[in-house]
Amino acid sequence: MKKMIFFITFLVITRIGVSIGTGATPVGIGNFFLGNSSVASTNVNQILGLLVGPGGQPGAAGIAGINGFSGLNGINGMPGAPGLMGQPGQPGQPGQPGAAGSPGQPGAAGSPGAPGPTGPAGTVSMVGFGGGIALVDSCDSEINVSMAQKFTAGIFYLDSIKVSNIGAACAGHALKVHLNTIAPSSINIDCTVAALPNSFTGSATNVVSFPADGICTPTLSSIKVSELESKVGVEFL
Amino acid sequence: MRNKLIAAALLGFFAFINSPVALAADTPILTWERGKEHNIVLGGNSKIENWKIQLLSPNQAPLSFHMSKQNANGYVVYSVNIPSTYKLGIYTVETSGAGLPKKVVAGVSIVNMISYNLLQIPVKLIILLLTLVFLIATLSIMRMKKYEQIQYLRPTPSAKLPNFVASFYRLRGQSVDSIKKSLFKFLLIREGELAHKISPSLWALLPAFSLLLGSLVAKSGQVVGGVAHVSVALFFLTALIGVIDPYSGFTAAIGFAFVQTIVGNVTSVSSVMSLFAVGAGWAVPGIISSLYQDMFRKDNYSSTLKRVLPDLFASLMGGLIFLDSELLTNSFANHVGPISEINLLIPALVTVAIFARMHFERYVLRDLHLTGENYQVRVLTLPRVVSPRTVGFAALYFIGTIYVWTRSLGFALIVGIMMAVPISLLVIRFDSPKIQYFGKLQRNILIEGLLLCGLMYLIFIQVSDMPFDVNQKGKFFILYSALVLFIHGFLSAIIDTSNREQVAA
Repeated sequence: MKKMIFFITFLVITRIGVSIGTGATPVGIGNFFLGNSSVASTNVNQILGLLVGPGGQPGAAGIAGINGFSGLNGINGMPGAPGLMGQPGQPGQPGQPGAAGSPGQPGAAGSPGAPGPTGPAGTVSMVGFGGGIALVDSCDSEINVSMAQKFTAGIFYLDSIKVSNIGAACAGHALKVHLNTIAPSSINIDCTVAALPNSFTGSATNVVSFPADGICTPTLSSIKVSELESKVGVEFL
Repeated sequence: MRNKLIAAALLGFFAFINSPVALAADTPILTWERGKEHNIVLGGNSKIENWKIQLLSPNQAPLSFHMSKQNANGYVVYSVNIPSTYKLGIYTVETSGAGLPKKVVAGVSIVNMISYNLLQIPVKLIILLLTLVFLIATLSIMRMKKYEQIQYLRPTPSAKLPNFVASFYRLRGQSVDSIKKSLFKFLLIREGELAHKISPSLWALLPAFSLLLGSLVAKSGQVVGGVAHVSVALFFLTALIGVIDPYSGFTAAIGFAFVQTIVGNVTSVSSVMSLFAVGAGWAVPGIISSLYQDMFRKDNYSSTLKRVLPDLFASLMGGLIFLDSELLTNSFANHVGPISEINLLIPALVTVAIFARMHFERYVLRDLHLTGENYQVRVLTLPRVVSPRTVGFAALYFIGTIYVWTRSLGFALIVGIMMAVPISLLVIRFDSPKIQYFGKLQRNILIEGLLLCGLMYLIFIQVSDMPFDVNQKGKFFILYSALVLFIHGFLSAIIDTSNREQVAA
């Protein structure tokens, strides 16, 4: 292997020497390395240098040009936008009367007749809480009043007031029951029946029960029994 | 009056036909080779941030120039890489700035590449330098104690050969024996074992055959550096033989060099360097890939990675070295015709061939110890990775290469020596300094090599954007590579010294 390499090296060096020596160009390091190649001296791949000059001054104003030709007619315009909404119109004429209707159902019982002349001023009878008998002078001399209570969330509230044993002469009269609570709430409670029907009078078993049969203001269930005064007033008007 | 009118008309006519000529006379015409990078320097009094430059032709897609950073004087360099497949012809260079009209500033005649100067082909130069950085950096790491032993199994030759073959057998044996003990010799013998295992006759005759094949390749080529001109199939066949048996690749290179010299194509040092490059392409990929395969296996990876990575990267390095040898051959050759572009097909095929060879060898030798044949375990403990003679050769080759590319002897001497220093450090071993931290450092040859290549790539990207022309940038690429290798070589020497101290303790 050594001999082969030596032989090739010798051959190469002599060949290069001959080539350099017989060339027309002077022997130098350049052509020793590169040979008498024409490539090395070829003028290619130049680098272009560009200089950007300073910005010039603006030029003088030019002469005004001649007038231009008349322009062509323009194309048609676009359709206009929708107009605003108009005012509301006048109300129309009333329509023709309709055809006669079929006969109606029989009417309800008529209302009671007009009240008679005001009687003499009545009196208010008072009974104690828990019920009892009240003496009334206007249309009856004696009625029974009782109250019931209901235990809700640890407190006794007023549940109902019952008036019974009303005389037949009191039919058609208004019945009012008055109660009061003590301070600090001091509420006036009124229960009313506008006109007593016959079914509430004339017998000891006919009972007017509030709030079922009349209107109480405020409602009885909001009244604490512990705050009630011991008197109840009953009035026939 | 009529004469005056005719005279005025003639005057106007000549003024009209002369004005384009006068304009053209102010426009420079350049000649640029395709396949290279070209530059335009732009500067002056006005701001140039928004200037755009394009290379235009009615029949080709325009090429835009890339603007560099500005230098201290406000100049910038515009660069364009003209592809090697770009159509030949006349082109115009058009500039346009912000608020300024477009202007043709030059005409360019695109011609075939006539000199393969790698300095002007940055992509190829970077591939070459990255391979070189990996190669030298990993050689520097190989001096570490854990890499210094290489071994292989060798069957004891016992075959009876015909007389004709036996003489070739002896010739090869004597030829290799005459080489001094070195890593190169060890690897040359080891890589021949596959051919020997297949057939001792093949082992004996293949170098002679490849010598003739190399001569044939040289004869079929037009000039000494005409790698592109020789038959691609013949060239690849020779490379394939070199992969199977690097010694045969070497004899092919001898045959190639002999014929080229005899026919008178070798007329300069650069053509000799071209011969070396061709020879390296045929003989070195097999040797280097085998060496790397060994070294990569000595590093710590998971068992799965260890089965794949060493073979893969070693094959890749073999393919890259083959590609580099092609690039070097083309850059040293004195071409007399158009230069063909180097494609990646043959390097890729060489990579695959190396990978296949590794697996085939493993298959062939898998049951050597079970066959009942006698075999030897051959071990080489590297006293040093390279010999002083190799260092001298490498230094000369670096200097010659850089001179051929740059035509600057001073630059070539300085940078060539800088590149040779890390190799020369492999010959010696320092006694000091011994740094405790370095002593504990566990090095990984693959990771360290790749990291260094990554660092170099970042440097290349930075340099690419600097306001220099392509030749200056190429010089910077080479200089920075040499500098990084120089520093890494010294560090490796110190780490080796510290590590040996640690192991001895």
